[in-house]
Amino acid sequence: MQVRALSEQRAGRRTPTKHESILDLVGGTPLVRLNRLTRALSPDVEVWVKLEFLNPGGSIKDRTARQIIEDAVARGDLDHGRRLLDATSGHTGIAYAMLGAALDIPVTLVMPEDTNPSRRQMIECFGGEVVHSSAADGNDGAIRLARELAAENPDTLWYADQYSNPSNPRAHEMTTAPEIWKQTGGAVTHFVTSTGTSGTLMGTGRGLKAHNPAIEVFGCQPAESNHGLEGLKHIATTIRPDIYDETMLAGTLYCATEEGWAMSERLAAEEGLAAGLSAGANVWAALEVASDLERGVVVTIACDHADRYLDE
Amino acid sequence: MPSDARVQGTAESLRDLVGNTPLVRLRRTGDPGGAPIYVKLENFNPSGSIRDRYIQEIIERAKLAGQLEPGDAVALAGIDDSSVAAAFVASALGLGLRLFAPTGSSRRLVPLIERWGGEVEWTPDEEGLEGSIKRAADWARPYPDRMYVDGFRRLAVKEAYRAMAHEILRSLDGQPLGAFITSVTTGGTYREVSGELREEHPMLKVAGVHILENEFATPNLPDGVREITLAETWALRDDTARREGVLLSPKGAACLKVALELQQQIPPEQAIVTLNPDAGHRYLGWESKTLFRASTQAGL
Repeated sequence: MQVRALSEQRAGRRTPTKHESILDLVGGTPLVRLNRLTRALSPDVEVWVKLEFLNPGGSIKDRTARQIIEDAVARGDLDHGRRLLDATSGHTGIAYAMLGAALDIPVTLVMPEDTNPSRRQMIECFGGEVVHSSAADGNDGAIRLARELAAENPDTLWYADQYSNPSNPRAHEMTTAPEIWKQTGGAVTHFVTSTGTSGTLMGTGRGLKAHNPAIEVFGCQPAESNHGLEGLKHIATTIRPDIYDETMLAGTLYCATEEGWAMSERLAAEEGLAAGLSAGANVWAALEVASDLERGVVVTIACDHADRYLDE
Repeated sequence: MPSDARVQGTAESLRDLVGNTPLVRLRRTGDPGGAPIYVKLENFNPSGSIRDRYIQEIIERAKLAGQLEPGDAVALAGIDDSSVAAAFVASALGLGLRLFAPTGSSRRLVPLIERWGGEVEWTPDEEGLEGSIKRAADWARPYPDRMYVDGFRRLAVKEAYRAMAHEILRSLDGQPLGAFITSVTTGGTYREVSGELREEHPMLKVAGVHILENEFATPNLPDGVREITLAETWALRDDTARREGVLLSPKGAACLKVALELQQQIPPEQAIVTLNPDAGHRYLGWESKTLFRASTQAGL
């Protein structure tokens, strides 16, 4: 009898594939079911998480950056050796720098000075240039500085502007949403995710509603203006992203920093899912939505991995 | 969700996501007309390294045999990718994890292990890894609900790495394989993956790479294993990140270095597969620190 590895006998596995470029590895992430945190829910309610940290740059922002770059290249915005410029709190910058390295597109990123130094190091490892904005002015300060730099250097810089660029939600409309639709066999009833640029929420929501208008889409924001949920945006007190449109939403949940952090810890300890802080907020919100349901398939997003927050 | 709705990439558990990692081609590294170089990205495993494969195989086999039940605990010695994998697998299976490691070990992976609920017990540095192994075994042995996991559960290791060889062949989709380069720590990948690949490609060129962290050569390296210093790997890591957008780990960079040396010997229609065993970004900021010494000094 030939003994075979248990791991080879599993259903639902990915197929090993070869790719001609790192760009082809963006997206196509697995969807995994939560089994323990969902015990108190109705037995007919399922909660599934899309593992975006299994993108090559380690976050969902790979999708955004790829779409923004591809659309810009197609329009000729990055011709004549122009540098891509954007404001970022980290992950979009990593994604731009990684894809820019693969495509030979120079990248400049504006980040608040107090951004986690490992984000900067990763960007620089990929050859990206980092410009610091004042820590006191937060992400809005980075956005304003990026706008200034773009206005002063129109011939050498192209401002990607992830907060207003329609390519951002389009990335999710064209990839994240159809993947979720297919992976759930069309059974998804609710989609819940937090807002940073709101690209994931808007694009995935729109894409899913195109398949089935009855799918309910919920946003999640930090409960406080001054919060510790990196990557999330408290929209009422910050520069509002142009792409954000709450008329699509069935509702918005407000996650306290401690609730997001605690859920991120429970995900690792109880489900084996070591995801970042925004994933904690997302799953917290997804479970809130799920707890009101008799039946349903709720889908949310793990934007990045816990290993991005564990620097000593 | 109806079970017939399940499609590729939909998993009831994270454990289903171990293995089946992608190959990615390096397009601007090496001789452009030479044999194509593909990197096997083991950082796409759920805990971020190749070690998920055999650790999951060992623990699941023990569970299947009734030796482990939810609530039980497993013990390992050393702080390395295997302990990270064990922390992940244990958490996903509802098991506890106790690690024993010399106080001199790199702390690089400790926060991640703790995140998954693993507990670390530090053992005297002067006892080395052997001391940690002894303490781990002693901790587990008297109790029926504890199990000491070592890297030498032969069948599980063999099967996990054979599965990986099949994966490589499947992902090449008929393209002949000319060379396979792997890093060598315990030698498991080197022996088992290469052996299985050679069943299909008897003329396959195989090379192993061992990272040398200090000036002392490692004793008992298998034949055909090259030693490369850690310092040498950082430069190639940075080059590859800038040129390809692929962030290799030091071990992955060491394998690539050997792949580049071998490229001229491989016909251009054959593929070179080189391993990136773990996650490159987890080394950022650790370039000037001791990384592997305490976890490998017990020998191979």
